[in-house]
Amino acid sequence: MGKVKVSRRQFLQTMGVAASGVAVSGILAACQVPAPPPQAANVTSAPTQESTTAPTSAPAAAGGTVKWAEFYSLLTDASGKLNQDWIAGVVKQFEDENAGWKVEREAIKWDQIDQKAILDLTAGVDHDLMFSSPQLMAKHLKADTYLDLTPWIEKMPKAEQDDLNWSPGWKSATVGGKQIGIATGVHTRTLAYNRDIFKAADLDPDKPLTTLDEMVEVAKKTTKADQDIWGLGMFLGNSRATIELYYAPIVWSFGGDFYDSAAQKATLTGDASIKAVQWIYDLVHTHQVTPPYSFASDADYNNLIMTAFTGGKLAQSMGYGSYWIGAMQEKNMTTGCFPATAECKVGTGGVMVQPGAARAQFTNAWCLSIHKLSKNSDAAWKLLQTIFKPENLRTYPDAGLPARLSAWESPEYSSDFYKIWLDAAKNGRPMPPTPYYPELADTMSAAMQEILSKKSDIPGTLKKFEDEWNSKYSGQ
Amino acid sequence: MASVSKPLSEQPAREQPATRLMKGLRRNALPYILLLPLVVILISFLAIPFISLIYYSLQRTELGVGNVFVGLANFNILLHESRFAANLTATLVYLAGVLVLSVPMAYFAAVLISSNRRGVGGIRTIFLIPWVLAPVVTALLFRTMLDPQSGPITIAMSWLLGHPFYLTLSEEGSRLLIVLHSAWRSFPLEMLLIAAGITSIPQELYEAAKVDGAGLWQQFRRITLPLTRIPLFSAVLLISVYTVQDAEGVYALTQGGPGYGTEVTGVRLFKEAFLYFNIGFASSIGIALITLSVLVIVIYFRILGQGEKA
Repeated sequence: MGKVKVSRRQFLQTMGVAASGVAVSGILAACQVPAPPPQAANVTSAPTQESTTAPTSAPAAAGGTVKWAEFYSLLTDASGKLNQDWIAGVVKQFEDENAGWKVEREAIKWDQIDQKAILDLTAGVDHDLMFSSPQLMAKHLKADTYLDLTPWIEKMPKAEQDDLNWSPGWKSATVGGKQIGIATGVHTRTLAYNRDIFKAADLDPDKPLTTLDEMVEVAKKTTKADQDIWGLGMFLGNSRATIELYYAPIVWSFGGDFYDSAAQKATLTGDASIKAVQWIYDLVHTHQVTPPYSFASDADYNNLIMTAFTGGKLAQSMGYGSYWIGAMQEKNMTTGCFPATAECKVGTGGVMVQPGAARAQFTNAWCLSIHKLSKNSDAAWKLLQTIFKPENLRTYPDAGLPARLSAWESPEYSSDFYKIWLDAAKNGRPMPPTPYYPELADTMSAAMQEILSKKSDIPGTLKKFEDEWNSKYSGQ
Repeated sequence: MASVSKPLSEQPAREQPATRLMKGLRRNALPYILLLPLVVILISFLAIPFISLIYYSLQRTELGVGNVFVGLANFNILLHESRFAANLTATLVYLAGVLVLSVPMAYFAAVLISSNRRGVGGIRTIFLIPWVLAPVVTALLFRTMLDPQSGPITIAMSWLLGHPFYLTLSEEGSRLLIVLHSAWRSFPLEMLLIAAGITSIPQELYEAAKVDGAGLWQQFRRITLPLTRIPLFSAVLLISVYTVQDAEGVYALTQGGPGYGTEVTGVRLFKEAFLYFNIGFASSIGIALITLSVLVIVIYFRILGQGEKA
């Protein structure tokens, strides 16, 4: 057989054509419209009588894998060893109780899990059980991210339902007549106060404050600005904490709201809203009882509220979260309160329900939802039930306070300290049910900062920011 | 010499233009084939994204809901929005501040590192540190130094002034902070470009100037400055485009606050695209940002062109 001679020119021509072909076909493949996700109805129909049995029964199919999107992996939460161990325990329990079923953990960062759920729905990527944020439930409803859990919940005994459905976390996942998530715990806030500073100012630390005016009077009596000791700690920086923990509770106390759910528009210029901003403004600028750096553009929420309070720099710390009960104990402000025991006693640090007419603080909790594209929705529900077993919920480190009302009756939550937290949780309120809540929160935070930094006209500035948000999002 | 033309019947038939083109292409195919991958890559990474940006700027997009064609509505909102006007103002103030601070600093440093003094090598390395560190890292460094409760600069300034000092309480203070941070980060690159220009100036020019009795200032004004105009221009252009498009450094420092005081256009784009997933609206901001960058480039080239004519 004769040798075929290939010149350098021919070789380069061939290679050039081949490379171009590969490049073009690659680009065409990349530009190709992806196959549409399978119709949700085909994949995961609402549970039927056949597919969903009583809560304690095994999943309908013989076996498979349940995907659980969570944020406690070593990749996403290096410090969360307790949560990682807890998840591993729950997974093992589920797998032991349901032969043939495995749980595949999907690591997603906590602040990306909601967006990921929506993006994956569009991309046709399925998940089963997912953690979800209560503040974003209206967005999830609009995007149709999660399955309605009502058909499964209805099969639960009434007592079991009542044990869970009392909390604001549960209620914030009740949107558009659907229940698209179930709260795993309770994160609420109180007004924490330093009993020693109260006593030094001849104030009775055992007498709870009931009005906003009383808060201001106490703040005036306890502020020693030259020693960096402040009467009332608040955080008014670039964060959703500004609207959730400070602006909203004060608006509620003045008897109003900042979002009209019926008209689906922001009402930042309502009377209660203007009064609330004026009240906050006076604390910072007129009475000077709140640190001036509370609204600095680089202010840090943890430092201003938790660290400053436990460091003895604040007489009152507004929006003190239940996730900081441990921090109080670390500084010996309480004893036996973290973890909760029947012997819980307050020392320097006390808490009271947010004073004011509404007695309400923002309350939320991580929820669990089942993704719309779930291929194993019954098994996912079964896993959810395993998680919600009283003994599992009680040991979930990130739950905050108990999601089950019955758990509050146990001896460890019988102290006065925890009765106040239960009162706060029961009075708690969610954020408004708008799909554009993040945008609303950031708009209000910017308005507050502009008013405080420029000392600008309150109604005029609020109107400007209200118009900005409404022009884009009202009615949606 | 008389020309002798052949009879028409003996002349070869005239080729059609298309045939000639094909023949030519066949003869010169290799260069085109070799260029093709580059053309494909350029189209893929420049043209397609740009067309896609324009396409999305005409849509209202919503995460999980889909796209709706809205024509120029996104641009209409932008043009009538006081927030966008504030974004543009913040961007221009930021750009002006960074240039005013960083260019003299870079020039001074460039003159220093171009000399043959002892220890210049070490100084050169130290000067380059701000440029090699990630903006988010340097922003955290600045934040730590200016922490309202424990920052060493806050404490030192409060002690010096005799009253509490909090830089980031006001719009002006926050703008100063982002300008200081960006100027500090930008000057090493400018310094390197200018230093390259300085070292290429023949020493004979300085020697001749000295013979003519020129002092240091005159040497700088009459030799160094005119002969480093091109590298200086390149440095200013690069830093201007970088500053106009900057988002990460500013976001890590102030998140655009207080209010919208330091919300430069890049930060606004970042928020709309990656916090709210309003890709359509963010695309319209992206087009505005590209326009602004092009405008900066055109202005600079005009200034340079006029300088050369003069």
